[in-house]
Amino acid sequence: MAMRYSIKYVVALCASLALPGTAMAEFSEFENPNIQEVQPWDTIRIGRVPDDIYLRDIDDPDDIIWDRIPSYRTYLSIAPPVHPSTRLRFNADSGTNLYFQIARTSDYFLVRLRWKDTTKNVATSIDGFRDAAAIQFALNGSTDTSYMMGSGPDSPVNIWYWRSDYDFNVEDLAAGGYGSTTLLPDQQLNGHAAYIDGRASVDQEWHLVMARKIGSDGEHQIDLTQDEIPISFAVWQGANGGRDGNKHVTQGWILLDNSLEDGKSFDDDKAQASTQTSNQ
Amino acid sequence: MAVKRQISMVLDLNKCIGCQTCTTACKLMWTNRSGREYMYWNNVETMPGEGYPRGYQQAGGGFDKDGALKLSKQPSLEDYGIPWEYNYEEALMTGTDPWLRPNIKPTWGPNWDEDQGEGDYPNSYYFYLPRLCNHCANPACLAACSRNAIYKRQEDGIVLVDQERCRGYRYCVNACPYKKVYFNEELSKSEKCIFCYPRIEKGLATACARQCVGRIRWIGYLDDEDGPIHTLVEKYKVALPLHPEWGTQPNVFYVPPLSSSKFGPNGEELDEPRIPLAYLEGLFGERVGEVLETIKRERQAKNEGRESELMDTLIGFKHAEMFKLS
Ligand code: SF4
Ligand code: SF4
Repeated sequence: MAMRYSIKYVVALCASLALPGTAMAEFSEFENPNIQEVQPWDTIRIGRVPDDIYLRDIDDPDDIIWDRIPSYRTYLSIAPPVHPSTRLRFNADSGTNLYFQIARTSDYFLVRLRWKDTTKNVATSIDGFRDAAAIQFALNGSTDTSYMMGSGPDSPVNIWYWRSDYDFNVEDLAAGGYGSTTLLPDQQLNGHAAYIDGRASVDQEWHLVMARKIGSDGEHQIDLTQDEIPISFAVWQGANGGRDGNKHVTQGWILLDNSLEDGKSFDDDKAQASTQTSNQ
Repeated sequence: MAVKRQISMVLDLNKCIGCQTCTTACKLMWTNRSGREYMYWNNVETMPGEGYPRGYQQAGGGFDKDGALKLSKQPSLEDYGIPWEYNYEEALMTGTDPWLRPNIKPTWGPNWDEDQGEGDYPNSYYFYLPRLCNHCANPACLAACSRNAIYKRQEDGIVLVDQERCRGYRYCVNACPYKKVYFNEELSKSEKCIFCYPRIEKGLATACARQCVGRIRWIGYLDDEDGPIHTLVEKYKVALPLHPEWGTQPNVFYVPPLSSSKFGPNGEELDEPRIPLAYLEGLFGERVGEVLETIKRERQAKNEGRESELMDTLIGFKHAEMFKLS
């Protein structure tokens, strides 16, 4: 519901503000020279949404604010098979580009993903598999944690898993190695997606935003206040029987520089804010 | 997969009348609700025939000669049969619809090809094959699960899907060559025959066996030398697994069906069974001929008034002797 509303909202805004060239931006964006190619182990800075900008829905996948946030492209390749069942279905040839943007407001941490998909699979049924995507965080903030589902129970990962088949559709998960994915007791995520059904098949893509309150914590919830956060991505193509390890993944961690401008860390920022409050 | 004890079932195909009472008993108990409507943990199919789901015997799955899992075709809902309901209320109670009709146009379903079989009159033939999960000693479903959500109980070897661990990947559905694990769309999890373990734990036979009109089913532990399973499988060796070449080592066994003789062009009886031996060997392996000879011999003995422990067992005089659950 929010999704539909937001798309209309974007179109209406674009029309009324007469922003030339941005109305149909979604369909040409992938050729945008400003999109920066990112490899695993690269570091990127997190975009900051100024406090005076009001986001109607925190997880609107097509909020116009995203036009102002830096966009990155990274290549996802097929995950190496770690079980006979994934090995049987392994297709080394395929890979896909994922476009991502990361931003934060003072309260929320937001990740927007976009990827090409000419087949919209939104059902988990006897006859088919759903499209899905996930973001993975190394919980201890260290790149020593394996980017392949974590390194055992002592170095787990937090996973935000979006599934296209539910209305409330982002699962907050943790894993410490293959086959250990577990639904966390407290589900703290927001998420919404929109399938862009372009006229030509190259225009057909998913737009997805996942968001979590920065301050919320809990066991196996990524601490979004730390200065550096290792992150990686996965996409499942329902049409190709994607599930479990049959996915495209970042083959390594991408490092998020989460420190605020001028070397101020988020904590400093908060500390400053509270000092100001107490001074008043 | 070694377990302490293995529970097992033997079915005598010479006695099955295809009444589907077992199917109904199972459905009423376990699968008439909550996304299981299309599932038949127990089904009875006409052989030769497409089976349930349609074409499962040609689909693949199980293990190859080296013990590696084999991919299979994933059955579609249409292959199982899209379940339908009737407008009983409108047609029979309120009278608002003059016709009793299904809510969809049925195009396929379990047992759709009932009693078709093979061959031309007067040499046409068929028999019934009741099927349930084989609670295999080497379960392909278990081997295929990347989450270790499928386990085999130590105390009785019953194969179960841990509903907490299952994330609906459906590798098991694909891997089981018998197609006896099913995907529940409502719950997004896989489900299967549980060998009525809550009944077994109370010393009762499974619903399908207890309700069987033809009294074709025996239940007991494989290692119980006083039980019927041992008598049929080990002592007289007349019960065989279905498709042993699929490599899962089933613990459900079948006494293969004898058939009357074929007719020649002039109506004379030929020395050849109506159901071709090669066909039965394709289902139950190369020992079928030997088993059929044993049964014929023991039948003859009984006919002549001699003792036959095997025939007495196969007749199944008392449920207490057919189900030995301690
Ligand atoms: S028959 Fe299929 S579902 Fe049952 S134990 Fe064997 S492999 Fe698993
Ligand atoms: S109840 Fe017994 S006789 Fe009837 S179909 Fe089932 S197995 Fe055959």
